[in-house]
Order: sequence, then C-alpha cells, then structure tokens
Amino acid sequence: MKELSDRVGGGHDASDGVDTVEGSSSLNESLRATNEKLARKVVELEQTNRELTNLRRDAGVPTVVLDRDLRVHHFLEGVAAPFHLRPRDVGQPISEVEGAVLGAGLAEESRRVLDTLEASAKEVADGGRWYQRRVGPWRRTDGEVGGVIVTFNEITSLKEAQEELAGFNDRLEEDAERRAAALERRARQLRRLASRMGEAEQAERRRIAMWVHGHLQQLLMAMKMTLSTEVDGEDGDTPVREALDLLETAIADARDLAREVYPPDLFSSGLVEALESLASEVDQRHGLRVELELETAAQPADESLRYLVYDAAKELLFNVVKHAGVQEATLRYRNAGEGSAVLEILDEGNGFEVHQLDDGSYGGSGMGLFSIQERIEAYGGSLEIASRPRGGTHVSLTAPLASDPEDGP
Amino acid sequence: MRFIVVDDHPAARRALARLIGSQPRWEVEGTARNASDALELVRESSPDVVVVDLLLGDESGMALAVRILELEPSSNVVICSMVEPGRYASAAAEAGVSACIDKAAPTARLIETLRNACRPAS
Repeated sequence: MKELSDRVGGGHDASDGVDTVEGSSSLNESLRATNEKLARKVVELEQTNRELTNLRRDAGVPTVVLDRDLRVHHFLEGVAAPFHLRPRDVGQPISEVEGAVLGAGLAEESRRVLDTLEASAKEVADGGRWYQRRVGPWRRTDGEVGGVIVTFNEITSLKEAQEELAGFNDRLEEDAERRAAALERRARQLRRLASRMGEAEQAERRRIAMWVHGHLQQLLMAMKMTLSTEVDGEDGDTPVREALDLLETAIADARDLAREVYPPDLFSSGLVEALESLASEVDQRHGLRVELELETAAQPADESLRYLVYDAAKELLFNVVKHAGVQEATLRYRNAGEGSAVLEILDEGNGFEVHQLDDGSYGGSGMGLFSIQERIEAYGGSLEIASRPRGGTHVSLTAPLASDPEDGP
Repeated sequence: MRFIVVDDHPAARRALARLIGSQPRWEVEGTARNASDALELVRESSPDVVVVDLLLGDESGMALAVRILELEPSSNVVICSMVEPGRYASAAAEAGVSACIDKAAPTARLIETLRNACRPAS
C-alpha cells in the first residue's frame, strides 16, 4: 500500500505537457482519493485486529495455533494458561515443546483433525486443574486450512462439582446397598425364626401327644380297669358304673386330642396313613373332599421330615378351605426318584397372584407357607407355588426321603 | 391260665394285672416293664399268655412278641395298647400274635377278646 502511494506520488512529479498535465492531474486526484481511502481502511483493520487480539487475550482463552507440520505458529496464553510457551518456541515442532496439557496425544489428535477437518475435544488435567482441550481446523485468511487451533477452557469447578456429585451418588448407592443388605438380613432372620417356630411347634406338639398318649391315657385306663373289677356282675346305675362311663368318655376324648395334636402314625412310619386321616378330618370338619393319590413307598426315614410333609399338607389343605372357594381338591404324594418324594396339593379355585405371598397381601397364610418353605429348604427340599387369579393353585413340595445330617437344621 | 403282663407304665401294668387276676381260673405269674425282664420271666415260667404293650418306652412290643414266640412257640402273645389295633393288626398277625386289644375298649370286651384269643398251652 505504501509502495503504491509512493509510485502515484512519483508519477505526479514526473508529468509534463498541458493535455498530459490535465489528464495526469485528474488521474492523480482520483488515485490520491483512493490511496487515502485505503490508508483509512488499513488503520481501521489494524485497530480491529488489535481489538480482536485484545478481546481474545482479555477473554482469557489460552490458545495455541499449529501449522500443518504441527509447528507452533503462534499462541496466546490468556489468563492462567495451562502451558508456558516462549516467543522463541514459535516455529518449533509441538512434540518438542509440549508440556502436560499440550501433551497427552495432542500431535496425534491434531493429525486426525487435519485429516477429517472435524473438531474434537477431551478433558485434560494439569496439576489440580482441569481443562477442556478443543482441537479444530485453523483456516487462514484465504480460507485454506493452515493447521489446527487448540483452545483450553478451564472446567475445574465443573469437574469438582461432578466429582462431588459422583461421591454423593456413591454414598447414596452405598447407603441403598447397606439398607438392602439389612433388609435381606431381616428377611433371613424372619425366615429362620419362622423355621424355628415350626420346629418348636412340632417338638411341643409331639411332647403333648406323648404325654397324653403315654401317660394320661394310661392313667385313665388303669383307673377304669381297677374300678371295673369292683362292679363285675353288678347291675344298675351305681356311682362306680357312672364313673366308669365318664372314664370311657375321658379316654376317647384324650385319644382324639392326642391324634389332633400329633398324628400317632408319624411316630412310626405312617405318613401315608396320617395323610389319609388328615383328608378325612378336613372333609368332616370343613366339607372339603380330598381326592388322594398316595404312594406308600415314599416314606421319609426321619420323623421330623414325616411331620414336615404332614404339616405342609395340613397347611396347604387349610389354605384351600380358606381361600380357594371350592369343595374338592387333590392331594398327591409320590416317590419322585433320586431319594426324594413330592407332595402336591391342587385345586381349581380362586387362585391368586403369587407375588402376593411375598408382600403379605394374600390373607394371613403367607407365614405358614414361609415357615414350611424355610424348613423344607433347610433339609435340601423345595416348595413351588403356581397360581393365578381364577386359575386354581398347584403347590408342590419336594422333600428328601432321608435327611442328611449336614443339611438338617 | 397263667399270664405275664408287660407294660412300661406302672399304673397300667398294675391295673391290667389286677383285672386279669380277678378273673376265675386266671393267674398272673409276673409283670415286666421292659423286653429283657419280660424274656427272663417267660424263660422262667413258660406262661400260657403274654400280654404285651405295643410301645415299651423306646422298645417295640412287636419285636418282643417275635422273640417270645421264638423262645416259647406254644405260648400266646396278645398285644394290648392305646394304639388302635387297626393300625398294626395285620403286621401283628403275620408275626404270629394271637390278638390285638384296644386298651381303651370297655373292660368286658377286653376280657372277652383275651379269653377267645388264648388256648391253654399244652
């Protein structure tokens, strides 16, 4: 621009002749005006350039521009730049000047940006501070891609907030896990308690039945025999005869009580007989006709197991009475092979959603099933319940025929 | 007829012995509360009838019946128990037991069953 101005000025000085002088003078005027206009534009451009530079510096965005050979073209440290470049680093390959944040794969990333012309960004750390390092194509004034422009935005406070949030989240998760574990422990305790209650009940029932059967009934019977030797051959309603009649009733009642508390069949190997008695009792008392399919070969060797299967059958049949709304049910008991027996109770009644057992919304019978499930699992057996509303219920209990002392409760 | 009464319950044992002893021409040779005492008595006195309870504490009256019949094949063993006879009668018959009596039955029927079941040993 300066060169043009000088030449124009020189032309004016060298002109001669009137026509030429007139023509030259007009051209000269026009050129001077253009020259002045251009000079003003240059000033404006330089000012704009300074303002832009100041703006970039004042905005505090540390920037490094690399040329296509990945040499430092120019840089702007801005406020708190995560790098320290000196003026003499301009023109040096970035690989030779890069520090902590300039490093970490910057050369490789820049090459990728030059290949794809797509900007990329990653988070980099320098000491305790975090930056988002963005690498994008750097276009020269002619629009050609002359290299890459690398900018650093500090995100330390964002990062800290994120970490705090993550820590908070972790604590929440730990807390939730602790609570879940505590709930699980409670559930296990409850199941164990249910199981122990079931066992304690069995032991107590057995003790009462033994006492009634082995002692009370014997005493009553002895009284009856002793008194009866006194009334031999006598007729009429004597007080002794009346006492004998009362004793007969007491003996019969005591026998019924003992049978109800603990079926005497379970003392010996009479599970199948106990199930038959149970079915007729349920029919007589509750009007539920129980169709029996029993295999006598499936007798558990252990009395506790016999009682458990019997107790499960009793609980399940009473559930049918209470909830199913039917007059008949099926009880199957069979040898399932591999040392186990299966008890099944089936009805075609109301049914229920199986999850109701877990959340306690299925009447009060959940606890009984809970206890049975826990007890049978302690022996290595299992309880399965299949049911749906208006679709009947099928409960299946698998019990080992011999209790393994290691598996036993 | 000569009897031996085997029952682990003392009151039952005494009452049964007294009831049997009160019948004309029936005599109780002795009573026992367990299987080993019972076998010793059987060896000593060769009774016509041994009345045995089904449950002798931890011992089985049925097993005792089998051993008595091995020892004295000519004697009669009658099981007298609070357990209803229907539950074990067929197994008892197979073992050679002469009769099963429900202890809770009226006394007259108990005596009748004993009388019918037993033939005097020769």
